[in-house]
Amino acid sequence: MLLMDFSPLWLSLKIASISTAIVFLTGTFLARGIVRRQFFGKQVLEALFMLPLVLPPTVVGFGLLYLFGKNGPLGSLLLEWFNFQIIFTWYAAVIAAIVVSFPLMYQSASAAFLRYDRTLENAAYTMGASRWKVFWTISFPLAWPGLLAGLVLSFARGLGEFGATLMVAGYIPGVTDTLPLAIYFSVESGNEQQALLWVIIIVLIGFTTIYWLNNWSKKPWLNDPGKR
Amino acid sequence: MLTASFKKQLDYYLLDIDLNVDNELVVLFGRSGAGKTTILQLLAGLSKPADGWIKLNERTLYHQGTIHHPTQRRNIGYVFQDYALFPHMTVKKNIQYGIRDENTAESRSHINKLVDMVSIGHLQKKYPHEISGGEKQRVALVRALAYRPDLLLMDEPFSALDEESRYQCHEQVLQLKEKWQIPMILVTHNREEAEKLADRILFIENGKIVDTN
Repeated sequence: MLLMDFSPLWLSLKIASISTAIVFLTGTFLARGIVRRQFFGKQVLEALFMLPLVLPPTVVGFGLLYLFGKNGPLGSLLLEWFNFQIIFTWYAAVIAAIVVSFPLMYQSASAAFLRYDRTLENAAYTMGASRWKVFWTISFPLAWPGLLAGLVLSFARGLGEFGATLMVAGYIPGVTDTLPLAIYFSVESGNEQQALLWVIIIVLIGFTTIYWLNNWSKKPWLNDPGKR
Repeated sequence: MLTASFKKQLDYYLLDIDLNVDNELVVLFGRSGAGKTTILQLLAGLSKPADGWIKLNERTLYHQGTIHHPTQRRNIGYVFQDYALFPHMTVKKNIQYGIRDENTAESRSHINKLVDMVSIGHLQKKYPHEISGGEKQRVALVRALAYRPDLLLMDEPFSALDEESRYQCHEQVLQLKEKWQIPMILVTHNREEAEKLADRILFIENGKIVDTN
C-alpha cells in the first residue's frame, strides 16, 4: 500500500480544482449577466449551456476532439500560434471537466441570483454604489449559498469525469490517469485491489461532499441570508 | 427644488406628470396601480421616461431620452415599501452603505444626530431580521438620509406598520421635515396619513395628477 502511486489522486484533485475555479468564475458572471435579462436567443443560449448535462460524455468527448484535434478549428490555431497540441495532455482533461461541470454551476448560480429581491440592488444604486460595488457587496453575498452549492457540485462532477476525459486525454499513466480512468484500467488489468482503493477514496470524497452540502443547505439562516 | 415633466406608456394608461416640489413634503395619493410608485422610480432613475425632463437643484438628471445622471449619481434618498434593508449587514453597515467616507468626524456626527433623532442607537449591531417593522422603517429612513440626499422619496413607508408604530413614525417624519429642508415626496393610499403629513397632496389617477390640495 505504501508503495502505491498516488499520482491519479493528485492529478484528479488538480484537474477538478482548476476546472472548478474556471467554471465558478464563468458560471457566476454569465448567470449574473443573463438570468435577469430578456433578449433574443436567450432560451437557445441557456439550452446550449445546459446541453452537456444531458449528452452522453462520449458525445462531449467527440465534440472536444473535433474542436481541439490537430485539424480542428481551435486545435489547429493552438498548434499554429503556440506549437502546442492539447489532446492527450492533462489540459485536455481540464477542458473536459469544465464542459461537463459548467451546467451544474450555471444552473446553481442562476437560481442563486434569482433568490433575492432585486429591490436590494436598486436600493444600493440609489445610495450611489457602482455596478461593481453592488455586485460584490449585495449580489454576490446574497447569492453565495447557491454559488457555493454550484462550486461543490462542479468540483465533484469534475473529479468523477470519465467518458469525455478518456476520449480527449486518453490513459497515459503518470500524465492523464485520473482516478476514474485509473479505476477502469486497474479492473481491466486485473488489479482489483488497487481499483477498490481508488473506489473507496472517490466514494468518500463524493459522500462527504453531498453529506456536507445537504447538512449545510438545511441551516435555517440560508432561508434568510441575514440570519448569520 | 425638484421640477419634472415626463411621460411613460404603462400597460393600461399613459403616465403624464408635471411636478414642482420645493423644500416641502408632497404626498402622492391614489389607489394601488395609479402610477405612484412608477413616478418615484422615474425620478430615482430606476426606470426611464419615454419623454420629458427632470431637474433637481439646477442639475438636469434627464432630458428628452438622455439620462444625464444615472441613479448612482442622482443623490436621491429612497425609502422602499418593504424597506429593502440589506439582510446580510448590520443596521450600522446598512446606514453607512451610501456614505463615501464614513470615518470623518463630520460624517460620524451627522449619522449620530440622525440615529439619535429616531432613537435607533441601540440597534446598530443588530441584523434587519432581529428588529421590528417600525425599527426597520426608522433604519431605512436614516439610511436614506445618511448621505445627505437632495431629494427624499418614500414609497408607502408605513403600510406594514401597526397603529402605534405608524403614529411614532409619522411624528418622526414631521420632525425630520422641519430640520431637513429638502424636497420630500411620500406615496400613500391612506388619506388620514396624507392629510397629517403633507404640505401638499397630489391626487393621482391613471398616471395623471387629477387634483391638488
